[in-house]
Amino acid sequence: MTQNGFEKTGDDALDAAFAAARAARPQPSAALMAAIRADAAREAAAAPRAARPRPAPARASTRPWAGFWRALGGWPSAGTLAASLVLGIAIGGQQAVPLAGLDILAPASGPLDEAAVADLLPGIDAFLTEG
Amino acid sequence: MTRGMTALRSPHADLSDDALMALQAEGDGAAAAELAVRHVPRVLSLAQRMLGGDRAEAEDVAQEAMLRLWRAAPGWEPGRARLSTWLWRVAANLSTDRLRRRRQVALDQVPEPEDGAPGVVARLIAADRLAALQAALDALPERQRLAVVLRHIEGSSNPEIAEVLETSVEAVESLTARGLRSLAAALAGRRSEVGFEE
Repeated sequence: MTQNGFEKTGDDALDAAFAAARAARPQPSAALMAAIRADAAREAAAAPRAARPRPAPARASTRPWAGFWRALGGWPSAGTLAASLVLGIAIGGQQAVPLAGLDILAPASGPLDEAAVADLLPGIDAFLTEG
Repeated sequence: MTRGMTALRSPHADLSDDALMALQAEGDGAAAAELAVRHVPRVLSLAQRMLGGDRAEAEDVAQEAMLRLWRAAPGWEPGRARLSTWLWRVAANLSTDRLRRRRQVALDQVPEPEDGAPGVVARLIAADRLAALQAALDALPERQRLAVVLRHIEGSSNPEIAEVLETSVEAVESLTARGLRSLAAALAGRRSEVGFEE
């Protein structure tokens, strides 16, 4: 049961005492309110900047290759990779120079015969025959 | 200071407590003033009832509770806690700390009624009732006292009180019921003193 929004206790003396207490609620003095407002101003001024709202972090990209790009290391790594690629192409594009002394490995026609191999590897016969 | 004491309506009167806290964190003095107008009277009232009617100590508690609120403003998370409940809990804890420092409150510290004013008899009766109630409240265990004051003087709901006391609604109902029984017994012995002689 309520009376003016307050629950009644069923005891007249108690209800009267509570009503008297509600009617006699202390009101804050002007001095107290001024002191509280001064505290608020001082605390707001002294609040560490780190506690103030910070700019939102850069929004994460939703592009599918963004993760791959980050994994590569971004622009600096991409520059190094590109330079390496150009150098590799330049080297690979040079005309091949035959290695002197290895003409036997590239006979003019037909596969290498056994005699040629035996000349190159003198111990191969023993190895092949010992099973 | 009540709303009636403010000459002009606050520019922030329609904002929520959470919005005012965000503005306070940015140093908006009008937001702090509006929060103070909304909450200091009830914090002061609660503290005064908890502290045996000691006005000066209640003002200290109210100022300290609001200071903690200002310090909490930069990190205040909207919707996480009801500001009034948060303040009541802080004020209750501060009051309890002070009570533990001074266990005994003399009854003669309850403010005397003023003489010579109109309706002095009625005021004397009301003052006697208040003094008797305060004395009976002071005799209650702290959690019972807090539950009774919040429920029957500040008009809080049981779920709100449960938040303040960090307990269940059922526990609040039990605390309040036991507190009321003790108060009724205490006042019954003083009926002739407080104007309830039939």
